[in-house]
Amino acid sequence: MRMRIDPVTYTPFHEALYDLRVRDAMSKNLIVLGPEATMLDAQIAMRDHRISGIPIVIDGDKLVGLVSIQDVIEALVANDIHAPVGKWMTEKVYTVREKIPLIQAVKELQKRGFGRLPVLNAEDRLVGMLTNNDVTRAVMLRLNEEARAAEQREADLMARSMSATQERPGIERIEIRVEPMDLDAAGTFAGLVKKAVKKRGVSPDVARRAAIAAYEAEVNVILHSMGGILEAFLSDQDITILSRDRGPGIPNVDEAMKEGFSTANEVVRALGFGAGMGLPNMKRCSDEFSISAPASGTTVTMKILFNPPSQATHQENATEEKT
Amino acid sequence: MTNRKPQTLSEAASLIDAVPLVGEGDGPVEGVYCSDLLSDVLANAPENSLWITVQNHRNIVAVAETRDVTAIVVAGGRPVSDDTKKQAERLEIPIYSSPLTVYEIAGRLYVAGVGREERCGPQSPPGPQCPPRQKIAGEPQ
Repeated sequence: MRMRIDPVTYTPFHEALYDLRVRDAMSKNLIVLGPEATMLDAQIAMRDHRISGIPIVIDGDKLVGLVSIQDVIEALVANDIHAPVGKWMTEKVYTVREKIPLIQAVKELQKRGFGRLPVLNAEDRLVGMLTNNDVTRAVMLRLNEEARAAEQREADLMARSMSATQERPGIERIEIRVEPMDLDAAGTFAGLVKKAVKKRGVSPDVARRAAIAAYEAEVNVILHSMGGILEAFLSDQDITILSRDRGPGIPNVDEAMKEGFSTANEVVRALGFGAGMGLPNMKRCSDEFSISAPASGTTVTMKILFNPPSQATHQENATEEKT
Repeated sequence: MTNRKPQTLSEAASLIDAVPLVGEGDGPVEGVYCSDLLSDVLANAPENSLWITVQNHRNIVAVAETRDVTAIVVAGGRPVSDDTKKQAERLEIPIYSSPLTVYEIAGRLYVAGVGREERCGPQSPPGPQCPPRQKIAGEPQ
């Protein structure tokens, strides 16, 4: 039985469509004509700029009509190609506002079978044209940006990992990659950590604290992040556990450090996770603990000394100081 | 059922009608912890203890291993998957199953004196070391 809970299905394509507005996608280099231009002018402009429709404006940007290829053909058939566009243009033009979500404009294009939509600003001025091509290009660009950002995050993570590794020669290192929601893997890192510290002949209490800190870090990355890397560095005196993930960070770290606070969902809570004790457990088990949790990724560093100066202060069973 | 305080896994198991699913043994039993929250067990289960839980998925094995509990007791006769058993075999964590509820299991072990301060065991006479306790229903005199 694989215990793996799929993250909420999310389609980047749709998300980009909702995220983008018409003005992000529309063409702003407008080819326009005045009403006094002829249908021949319109035909030439369409051919030269490879467009299938021309907005007709007065005062530079006040839309009064639209001439399409269909209109040109009709003028040709009527042998009236030298007539002013004002005579043949479509006057009742369907338009969209620049600030509406792109998805809404896409629906209009599909519903009405239009090839293009003039885009108006709040002052009813023509500011762009939107075609299906514009939509596709804008969405692709956005997806590409997101992919590049994700690659960059991955590269940053790798770079941080490499620098940490190369820093100290003669240090035993354990590394494990963690996939989001892969609960089957929970405990793998903790098991390796425990084995490694035990081999160094530390006290059972120290071994247990290292294992607990490692386990909680591991579960946190599995449950709450988009995946990450867990590392442990063992020297003669101590073990440093480093947990780094790909985000989305922790909005309020102080709150997350409080016992009982949890953002885990119902499914994992039913399995006994999400008690809101992970971070407090990690802190209590460590001799040194630090956390930073920007949206780009959470980093937790924990050091556990092999020979703690005073056993009493490091018993993880010891109740926390009451104030 | 004897009144003697159980000291080992097999002694404790027979007291709570538990049968071994994985491993067996005579590991020491000095305490008991009842919880279904994994982090709570990691934080608070005493040393050499039995962990009583209704959780039956494979993650309980890693928790038991991390915390060094002597054995997991799955309460209420809840089924334990082969996957979980295999993991327990690999990490050498005994898993027992008891048909009793968590409450009944804890009650029997408590009454028998498991996990209570030695000086306050059922056999110890009240004194300055051990204040007289409230009598618990069903507790052997």
